[in-house]
This record gives sequence, C-alpha cells and structure tokens, in this order.
Amino acid sequence: MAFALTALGAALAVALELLEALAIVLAVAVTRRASSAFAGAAAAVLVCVGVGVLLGPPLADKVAIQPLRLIVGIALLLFGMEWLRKGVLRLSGRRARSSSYEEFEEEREALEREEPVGEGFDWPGATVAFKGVLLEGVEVILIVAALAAQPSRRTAAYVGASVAAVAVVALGAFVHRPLRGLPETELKYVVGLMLTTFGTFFCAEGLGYEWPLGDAALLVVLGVWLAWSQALVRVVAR
Amino acid sequence: MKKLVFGETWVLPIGIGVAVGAAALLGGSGFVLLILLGGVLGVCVWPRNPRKDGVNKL
Repeated sequence: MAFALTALGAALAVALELLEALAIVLAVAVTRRASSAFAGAAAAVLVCVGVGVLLGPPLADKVAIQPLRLIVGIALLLFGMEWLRKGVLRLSGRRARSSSYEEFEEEREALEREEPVGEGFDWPGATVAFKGVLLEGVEVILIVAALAAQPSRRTAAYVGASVAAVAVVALGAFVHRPLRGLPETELKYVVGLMLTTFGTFFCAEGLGYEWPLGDAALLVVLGVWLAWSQALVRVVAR
Repeated sequence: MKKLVFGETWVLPIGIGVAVGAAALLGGSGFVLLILLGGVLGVCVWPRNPRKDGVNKL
C-alpha cells in the first residue's frame, strides 16, 4: 500500500511538472528553432541530473534516519501544502484553473512578439527552454529525492518518476503539444494531498512519534487532509 | 529558488515551522501536528483577495 501511494505520488508530481516544462519547450520549438529549444532543454536536464546526484545518495547515506525523516517531512510539507493551498483556491473558484495548454499558447504568443530568429544558434530560444526545464526539473528532483529518501520507498519513487518521465517525453515526441482536456487542477490537488500526507507522516516520525497502524496510518492521514481540504473548498467558495 | 522553497506566501513556511516546533514541544504527537497543519492551511486559503485571472501555474 505504501509502495503504491509513493509510486503514484511520485508519478503524478513528476508528470505534472514535466508537462509544464514540455509546454515551454514546445512553444519555443514551434515559434523559434526546434534544435535550439531541445539544446536548451538538454542542458537543463544535465544540470538537473547533477543536482540529483549531489542531493540524493549523500542525503540518504550520510544523515541519520530520524533527522532525515524530519528534513524530508518538512520538504514534502513545503511542496505539498503549496500545491494543496492552490488546489483549494482553484477548486473553490478563487483562482484560475491550471492548464499546460493555455501556458503553451501564452508562451508561444509571447515568443512571437520577440525578434525573428536569425542565422546560427538561437540563444534567446535556448535560454527560455533552459530556464523552463531547469525550474520545473529542480522541483522534480527535490520531490523525488524526498520521497526516495527512505530505503523502503526508494524503488517505488524511482519507478513512479521514471514511468511519468517516459510518458511525458513520449507525449511531446508524438503529439507536439500539451493535452488540452487534461484535468490538471484536480490532478495537482491530488498531488498536494499525497505530498502533504507523506510530509505529515514523516515529520511526526522524525519527531519520535510512532503511528498506530504503521504504514496504514497513511490512509487515515490522507482521509483527514481530504476531508479538511474539501471543507475548506466549500467555505472559501461562498 | 525562493519560489521553489517558499511558493507565493510566507505564511505557509512560517506556519509549517511553527506547527512542527509546537508539535515537538508537545511530545511529537502526530495528530497534534495534523491539527496544527490543518490550521495553517485554513489561514493560507482564507479569502482575502478578489478572484485572479489568467493561468496560474505551480
């Protein structure tokens, strides 16, 4: 059960972040020069891999398990509660819904207003693609590293993240634009719920608390966050 | 990096820090932490601003 929750949480978080990065890269590729967009994206991926190598194994191997749980828990809460906060605001209608397709169109229109592409390498296009992939990529690295910090959940986090990464890259390769009808608002809300649940669970363990029911307590914590956030959606929507 | 760590509101990271600190002082109870964090989320989403337009990505 913990394996499935970890894998699903990692997969959804990675897929949604990479969809946003994909929207930026495709917008650059369509309006400017595809080779420069992919070069910028590839450079950002290399930087992200470097950050992952620096963060992942040393964090897991050199920090004692108790403080590590607390650090990981706080990191997951920072990401998860931010996603959850926005999810509540979006579902209650106080914030615009999330859409990678809309972002793709906005980015494309903004790029079309720029100077036309000259001869040689398109540095402005490559820079836009680099920044977009780097920002979303670092967030992916931090979330996956946090979920994979405990040895028992490492495989699940890597499997979920890998499947999502392959799926999004394949989508970009074959469709050439983000999917229009994807319920990104609801999916981001679910990711917020899952990351916040793991964050609460790990934080309490890091403080020395032993959850009754063990890993099954994850479902209880998830249920509490679901009920509370849905109550907030209704209150905020009034 | 600021956006990555703190998002759009400082209330959230400060609230998480206070909630974790308070839970630690109260013996590290998981359910106390859950209730405190729930309060932090409630404060963060409490309606203050008019509706926003445009696409808001994460």
